[in-house]
Amino acid sequence: MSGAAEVNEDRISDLPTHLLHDILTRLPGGTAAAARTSTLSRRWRRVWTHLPVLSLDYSRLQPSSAASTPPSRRTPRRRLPSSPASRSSCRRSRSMSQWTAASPRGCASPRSASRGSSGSRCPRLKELVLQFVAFFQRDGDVSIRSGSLERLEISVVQPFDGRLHVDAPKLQIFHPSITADFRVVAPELSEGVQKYEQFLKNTDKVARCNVLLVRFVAKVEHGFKPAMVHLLRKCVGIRRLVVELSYSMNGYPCKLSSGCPCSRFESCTTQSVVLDSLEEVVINDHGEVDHKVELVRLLCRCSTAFHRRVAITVIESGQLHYMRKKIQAICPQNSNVQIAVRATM
Amino acid sequence: MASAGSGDEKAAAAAMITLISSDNEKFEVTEATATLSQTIRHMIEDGCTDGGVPLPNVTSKILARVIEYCKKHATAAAGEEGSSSSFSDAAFLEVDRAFLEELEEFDDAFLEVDRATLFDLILAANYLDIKGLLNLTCQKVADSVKGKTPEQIREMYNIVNDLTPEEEAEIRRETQWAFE
Repeated sequence: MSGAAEVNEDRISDLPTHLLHDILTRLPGGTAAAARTSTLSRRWRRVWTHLPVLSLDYSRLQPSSAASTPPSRRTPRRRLPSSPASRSSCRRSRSMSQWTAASPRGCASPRSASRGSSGSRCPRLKELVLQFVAFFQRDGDVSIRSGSLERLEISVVQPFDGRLHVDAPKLQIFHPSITADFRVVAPELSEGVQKYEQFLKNTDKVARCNVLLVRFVAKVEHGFKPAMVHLLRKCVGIRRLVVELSYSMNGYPCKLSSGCPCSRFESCTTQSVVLDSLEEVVINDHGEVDHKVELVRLLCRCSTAFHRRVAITVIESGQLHYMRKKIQAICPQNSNVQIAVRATM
Repeated sequence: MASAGSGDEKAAAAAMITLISSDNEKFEVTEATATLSQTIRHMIEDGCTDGGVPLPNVTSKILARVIEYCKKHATAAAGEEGSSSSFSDAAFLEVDRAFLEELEEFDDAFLEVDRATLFDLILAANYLDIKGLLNLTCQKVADSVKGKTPEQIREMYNIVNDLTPEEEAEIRRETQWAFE
């Protein structure tokens, strides 16, 4: 088998292309390491361009370019357009991940990144992972468009004030670790739906309590109204309700997806809410005025179901006057409701 | 955990498969060993293994090595299935870990082969569809290329550079981002 004549044989180039892909995707340097094999020979020239998975690490580009160029404008930003992400070369790729250095200079332009993931460049891209990307104010809105994308993960190294547009009709899983305002057009998104259903399931068994404290701590991606309505429906026997809203809450409808069940009309109707033991509601001094007002309005809509006199106290320190005006505009449907707006003590 | 001996006996009682290499050598293996290969598993499921399974793409030298790998990893699979009832979880985990370490050592030693054999093993693993072996061997090649310049890779694998200087310069320009 391994005679002397075969010692000088080029066995690796004879491997079927799919096996070369298997080997290249295992290179620790990611797609950059795979792309370097294009200079080996004619056989290798285009092998990497059909890799099923692209993994681009811009933080790796950083040290050498920092050393070889003056620290002025030469960030990977400029080089991105010539990267495989934006060439037509990733035609076959089904998965792509990019991550940038956490250092301020190691930031990829999100525009380039998003351009890289747009439909025309990677028409078969199914999975896009953008890790530790830094979006800058000057970049403005960022948009990701793809006709084939099924999974999208984004995590950012610093807060981003722009808007993120995602237009991916086939998107099923979306994990945004991002505090930006985003607009998602993804009718097939299922992950957010599952999360909401999980929330409904988790809160199904809170009915038998006397005092219910609802605190919205983390970022709430679903509309808070349907979540509140669900809780109120379940809390038949409560006497006291304390709500602490958060500043990072979404209003209505839910921004996660247009198809999320929390956005359905019936999720916000109060007809089935029975609060016959309720006596006291306290809305703490957190969250935005409009969300607090929205909550008061919601409770007033439920007030036909109140059996006792209910005292609603809203605590607000910042915009007390505005809050009072807003509250006055709400006309309770039941004289048993007494609303007081109080400044923080 | 069932010892390797009794495990083999049990499987032997069940079924033996004959594999025939390209140079007509016959290898008797247990079904548990043979079915690590998806290709052979499908043949067994289709009931076409009577009279032996001819493997025209695999030489006896390579087939012997492949069987060695499959035997070891089939015992591992059998051990996982059959041992949990007689041991507490902690003891089972302990045995499991020791066995995994042993398996890792086996894999490392298994890969101590010359380049030609390594590529034969890759092709055999691909043809026989043995996922574990394919992962192992492809990773070995990837590790050997790691951190090497194109010149070093060419030298290592006897790749003849048939690109003209102009072509090479063009590719360099196209993939400049990857070299920085």
